[in-house]
Amino acid sequence: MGRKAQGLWAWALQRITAVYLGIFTLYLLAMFIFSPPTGLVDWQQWAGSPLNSLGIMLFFLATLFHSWIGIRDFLIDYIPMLGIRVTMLSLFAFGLLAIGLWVLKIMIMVML
Amino acid sequence: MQSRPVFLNMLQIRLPIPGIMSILHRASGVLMVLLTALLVWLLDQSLSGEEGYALVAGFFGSIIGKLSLFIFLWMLMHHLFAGIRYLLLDIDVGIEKIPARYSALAVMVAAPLVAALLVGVM
Repeated sequence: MGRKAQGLWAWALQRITAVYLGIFTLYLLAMFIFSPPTGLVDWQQWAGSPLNSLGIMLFFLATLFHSWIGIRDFLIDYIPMLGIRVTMLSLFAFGLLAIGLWVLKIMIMVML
Repeated sequence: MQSRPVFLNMLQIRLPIPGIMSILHRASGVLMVLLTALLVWLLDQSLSGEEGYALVAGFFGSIIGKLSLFIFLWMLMHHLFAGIRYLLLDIDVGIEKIPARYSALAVMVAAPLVAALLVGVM
């Protein structure tokens, strides 16, 4: 991306992930309203099925990027002190990565 | 160099409705990021076995669980509806002052109503 368009990837990615998150959220809400899980096995089968498991993992991947961009905007706006801001950005980055890996672990276990 | 005057008295600043909706959009986003780990933990518990599933199902069946769900869904719906309004603004839909104020008000009213409806039917 050229020097004149550097902020553009964040702007676009935030919106692209938002669209996916919105659509999948509606899908989840519809599921819980019209066919909620009847028990553990039903829930595991739903979450572990090929399409749903992929959708869930993509959902959390999109959440990581969407959250990161949003939190980064928040910190840039309200924390002008470089040292504190870099520290907080790093903490959030590691926290979000950890959450992503945790979700991956959960989903692998349920697909087995 | 003289320091420049600032006016940051939160109790005296009066934001227009789109401004209030906007700061709540940001606040709901930040709060949800902080809640993400808890949500993943609930997912983990619910899939881990009968005990974990019963824990999560029991929580959401309780009064405190339903209240928590309502608050969370209110944040989510506000963030989602405000986000949709922003996407529309991005393509110049509703950018005039009066429609913008009405759409902002609509977001703020619709969010808790839809959240309550969702908790009611889930």
